[in-house]
Amino acid sequence: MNARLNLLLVTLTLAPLVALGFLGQKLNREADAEVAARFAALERNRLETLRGQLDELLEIRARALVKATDDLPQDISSLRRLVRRSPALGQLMILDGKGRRVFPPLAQPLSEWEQRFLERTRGLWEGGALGPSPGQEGQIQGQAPAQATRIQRVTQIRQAPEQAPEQIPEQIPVAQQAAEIPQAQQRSKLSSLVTPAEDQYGWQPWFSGGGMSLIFWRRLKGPDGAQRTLGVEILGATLLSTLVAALPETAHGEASGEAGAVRTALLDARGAVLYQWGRYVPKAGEAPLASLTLSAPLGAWRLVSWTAPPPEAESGLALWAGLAAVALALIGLAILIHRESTRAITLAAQRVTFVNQVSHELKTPLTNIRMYAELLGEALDDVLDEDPRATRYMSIIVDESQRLSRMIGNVLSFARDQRQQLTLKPRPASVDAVVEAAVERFRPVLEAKGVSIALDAQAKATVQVDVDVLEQVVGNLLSNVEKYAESGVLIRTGQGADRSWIVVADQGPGVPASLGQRIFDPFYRVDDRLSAQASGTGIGLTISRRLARLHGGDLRLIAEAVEGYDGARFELSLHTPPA
Amino acid sequence: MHVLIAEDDPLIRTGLTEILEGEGYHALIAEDGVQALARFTESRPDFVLLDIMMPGMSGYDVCRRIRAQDEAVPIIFISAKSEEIDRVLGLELGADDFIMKPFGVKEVIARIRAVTRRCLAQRASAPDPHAKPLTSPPFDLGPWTIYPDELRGRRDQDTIELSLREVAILRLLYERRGRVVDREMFFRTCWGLEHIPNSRTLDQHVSKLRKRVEVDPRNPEIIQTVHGVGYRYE
Repeated sequence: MNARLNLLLVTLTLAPLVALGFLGQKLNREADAEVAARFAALERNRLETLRGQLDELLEIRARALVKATDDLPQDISSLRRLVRRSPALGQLMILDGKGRRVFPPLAQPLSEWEQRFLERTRGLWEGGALGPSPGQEGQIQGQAPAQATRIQRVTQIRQAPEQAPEQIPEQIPVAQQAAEIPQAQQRSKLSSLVTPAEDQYGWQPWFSGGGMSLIFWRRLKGPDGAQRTLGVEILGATLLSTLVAALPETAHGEASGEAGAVRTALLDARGAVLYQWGRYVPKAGEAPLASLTLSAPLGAWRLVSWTAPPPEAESGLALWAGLAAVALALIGLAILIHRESTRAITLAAQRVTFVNQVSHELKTPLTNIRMYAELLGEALDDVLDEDPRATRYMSIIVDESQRLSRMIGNVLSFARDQRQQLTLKPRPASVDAVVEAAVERFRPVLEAKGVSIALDAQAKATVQVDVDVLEQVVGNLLSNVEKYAESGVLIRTGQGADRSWIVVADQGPGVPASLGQRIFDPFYRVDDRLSAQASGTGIGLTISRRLARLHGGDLRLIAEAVEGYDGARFELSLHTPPA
Repeated sequence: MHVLIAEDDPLIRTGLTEILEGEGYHALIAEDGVQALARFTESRPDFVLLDIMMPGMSGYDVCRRIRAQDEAVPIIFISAKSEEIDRVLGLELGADDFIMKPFGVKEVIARIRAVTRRCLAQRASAPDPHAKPLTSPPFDLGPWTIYPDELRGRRDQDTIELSLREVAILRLLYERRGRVVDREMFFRTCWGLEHIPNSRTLDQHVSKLRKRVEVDPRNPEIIQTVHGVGYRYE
């Protein structure tokens, strides 16, 4: 029992804590996830800002190229000279309105630089002109590398400021565009995107040698007024150095894993790092917190960001450590309470045992008092006959010892009842015989008090009844009569098929109706007038009712007077089957 | 009849002895369980009064050992332990009755007489010739019929309870009816030679008998006083 109680105690203590721990951990995880999502959003915002800066940089570059190519010389030599003297321009290419190459010239020998340029951009020249052609305007027949094929349609088109914004083609994500456009159409990139309007310019990514270059193009009019398409190649290295100049510097110093440390990288189409900055060093295979593809024409590149994770493990550990501390405190408290309650229970049990033991120990001297008083009465039979005082003294000794016996009997019955050990021992007996014997025991003391006894015995049949219980209950009722009755008592017995009852009604102050139930409560005693002259333990009626109910009956206070007996009126009923 | 009283409290032991001897029994005394067992073995009493809580050996153990020797001898437990388990255990061990402390003289006498009646009834029907002298047929004493084996006297609807000694006194008066029975004969016959009470003891017994059998105890007609000698039944 004790082990089960302890187990229950520990379970009741630990179960809520474990549940609280799991809940706390879950909330922690959710909070961590929320923080991570917030971090990711912040990082994405940061990357978008960076992308915007790069877009702006390309736009500035494009405008600069527009300005630089506004007044191009018309002859080949001047153009070659301009290319050599203006590194910012890079290699130029010019197509006429029909898409035929004007520069580098078709009819003149090419420089080594121009030859390498044409080699790099063979895909643009082979299979057709760069630019629109009759009936197949803008179709480009070229063999672009696989990577380029995926993204070559991503051409950024800028319109002159005077053009309406709604005419600017909406930028379309690389993957979506690649999926939407058949491969044959993709090869005609410029022709499909570059409309033959003047003052248009844009960027065209171009892949060669495993790297990406950009080709700036614009529409302009030639000296003959015919439409021409101008292209300027920006090599990958040049492009990257331009972009890096606008990005934060690579941090120097020791790598950091502190929360909030960031690593940002610019990756090419193959995922190779082009440039990176920030002190955080991500683990191998660690997924980036945020990733953002750059706008066209750099749509093959993307910005990624890693951030040092928050100290999740530490927060979880702190949670469990806190819960463990609370659990220890609760267990300690529970043990303390359990120990105190056990001590209280033990103390109560010891008190009961003590009362029980004392009651038992009292029996031996009480036996001697009673026995020797009765023996003395017999020995002084003649004297007692002659001296009424001696008779009275002797009866007082005997009566008081009997009263003490009843009290001890009640205490022991009460103790047994507390331990749920009250049992019945019915045997064949006459209810009247038991009641009459009890009345005879009380007759001397009642008559001495001037209480007349009226006995109406109508339960003569032999029935199954616990004689000890009947004696004890009737003795308790008559003891109350002895204490409280003033002039008379009626004891009436009756019997039914399997039930017997005894009514004890006296002429005295009685019991207020409001106390009809409370007088059966343990240790309750009616004070004031009723108990001023009476002594007792306050358990007589309690144990009497308990015994009566154990015997299949009850003990109750009768409300109405019984034939002029208007004091305390009790009815005892018992289940008494025929013997 | 011989009764073994095993009780460690000297006052209770003495009181029980006086009660039993007053009733007409011959009391054997034991102060503890070990002594009780030895006394039983050597004296074979007619029944046993046995306290449960005794030093040396408990009443339960004494009862168990006695039952190993004699399955029929009546045993009455005397105890302050009134718990149900004690009663059950005692009855399972073969006890015939229980007397719970604190007890009154009348309760002890009533229990002892009940056991004696059962004892005498068994002996009356037993083939053992040694048991027969303890029993005797009913006899008439005035309007009363005395039933020695029942320890009762009856007159019409009235019944009186009698002790062994009272039966013996009445039987002696009946057997010597018309003649004076002197005190010495009373003592020798009803008390035994080894136990000589004072003369007042006989007078007290006679006085108590007269209260029950005489119509007017102050003017007795059944048990008449022969002053200076003894008593006579006409």
